[in-house]
Amino acid sequence: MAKADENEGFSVEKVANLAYLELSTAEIKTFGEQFQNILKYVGQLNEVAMSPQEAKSMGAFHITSAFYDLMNVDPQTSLRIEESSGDVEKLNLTNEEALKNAPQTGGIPGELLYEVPSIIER
Amino acid sequence: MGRLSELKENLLAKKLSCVEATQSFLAAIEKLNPKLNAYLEVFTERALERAKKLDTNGPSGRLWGVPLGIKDMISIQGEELNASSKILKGYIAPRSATVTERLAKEGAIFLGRTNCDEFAMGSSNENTPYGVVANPYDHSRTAGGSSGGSAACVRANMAVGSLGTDTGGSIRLPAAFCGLVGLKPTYGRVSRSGVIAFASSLDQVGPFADDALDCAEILQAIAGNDARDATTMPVPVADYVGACQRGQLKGLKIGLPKEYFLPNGMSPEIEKTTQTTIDLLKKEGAELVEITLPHTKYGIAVYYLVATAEAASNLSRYDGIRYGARAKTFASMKDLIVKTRSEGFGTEVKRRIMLGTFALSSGYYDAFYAKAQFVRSKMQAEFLEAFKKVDLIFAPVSPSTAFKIGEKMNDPLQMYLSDIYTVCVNLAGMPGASFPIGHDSAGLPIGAQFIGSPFSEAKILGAVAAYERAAPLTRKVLG
Repeated sequence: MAKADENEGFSVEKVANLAYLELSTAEIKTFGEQFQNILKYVGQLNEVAMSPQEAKSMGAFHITSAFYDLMNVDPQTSLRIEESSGDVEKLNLTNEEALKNAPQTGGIPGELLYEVPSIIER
Repeated sequence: MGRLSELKENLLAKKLSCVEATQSFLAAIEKLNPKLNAYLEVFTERALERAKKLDTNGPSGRLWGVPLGIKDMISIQGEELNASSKILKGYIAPRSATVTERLAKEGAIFLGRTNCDEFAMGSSNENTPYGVVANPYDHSRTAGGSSGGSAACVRANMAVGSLGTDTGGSIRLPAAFCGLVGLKPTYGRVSRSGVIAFASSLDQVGPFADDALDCAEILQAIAGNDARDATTMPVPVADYVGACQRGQLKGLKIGLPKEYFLPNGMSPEIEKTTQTTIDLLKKEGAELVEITLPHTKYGIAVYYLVATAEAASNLSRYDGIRYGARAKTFASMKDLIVKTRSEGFGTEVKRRIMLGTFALSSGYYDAFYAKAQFVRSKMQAEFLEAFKKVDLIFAPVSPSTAFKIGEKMNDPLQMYLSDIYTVCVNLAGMPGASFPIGHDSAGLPIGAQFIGSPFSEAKILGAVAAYERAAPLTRKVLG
């Protein structure tokens, strides 16, 4: 398992690719230096020991879990939708509303869709 | 009395109409905003139209006729919403956020959307393609961030209150830099529905205002469970306004975390003013108790892994397909997405997305993200344990007063360290309020914060109000 200050694996280009970003040569250089410092700083977390089981359980950690017991609240209550309120129905956008912000639309009037470059090779 | 409460009284007493009040703030914005850049857009016509309607219909709601600024991360139906980013230029919010809906129901008027760091990522409101926000106290200095616009507009009397968001200190730091009260509620106290997500386990919406009572008026309107946000909790909303009126320092047990008061941890003037405040709290009958929060020393490290990881996920939706900007030239679908994001996001946003992507990537997830969450869980446990012994925690907000524009832009780590006293509150989900405690020798405001246990906003605001009565500060109207 990598340690928090083992940043030899950190390749600016590789991470940019994963993040769907394209960087200039100058940005690659500047970011490279900055990330070295930042990752060195966060390396202090190596001072805290964590078992593999504890690592696995962190996927389920949520900060409000402790609050439910503290505030004597049933988590199920907060998930229940207030059926008497009509507000929830208004949450879903109609196609027309959703397409209002679209950068580009295409298709038949009344059945407009988002227009994007083709991803199927002919 | 704060300006919001004073205005409320004057409106109800018909000393002025909603239209007259709105016109005066719009005039102030026209005069001052070119220098401060607090507002990205002013809703002149809509605000006046609303004010006319409110005058016609008569008083209704706790914020009837009260003009507010709204951070450009919070939706108002039909208005542009950019997150202070080029990538959302032209995006019109199809729905209002729950918080703006609730404010509107209480009669508030929205004057405009306020400037902020792009996607709320920053501590100085310098990370924005729309220009820096200047501090009303000294235009060569930052207003703090990311909610710099929301703070500056209130401080410069271009609104009597505003909404910001706080993910790692973005309400409390600008409040401290601009001499205001700024509250970050408990995670789950205020709905995030309709608020642009930065880090979903940390973001909270909160008010800026002159004093605790004015903040309480705004919080009273926006707090509460929301069916549209499953992370809100059905905990009854307390009487925040009443708590301010009844608040006392006598008998309060206030914790001083030793990790927050280390030598050279803050400027000498902040240290001196903070000590004066501690002495005053004691004099007013509070019991000050040293506590320890050992894992908070890792706060910045944890924050800049957890927040960036969540941001990397949240910002993956900005791809030029369904909304926002789209690159003009591209060779393929992937190229469209890459070019849109590369052209649309600023440097700090890219930096955080990349850091977060790395923290979540294969082979590094356990060492970075899981470890950060683990330390975070320990931090939260320490806060909860501390609150078994104390009612509130008192702490500084920032190691310095408002710094010069440009001073920290070349060293992101130095900028991140500005948040050293604020991030742990978000990581633990606790509420915290920043309030002014004095000025430095340059006349710049100094702030401190009360941190509370979950859903103890009433206690926090009550304590701030009691402090304000014990140590009234002269407020200048700035421009």
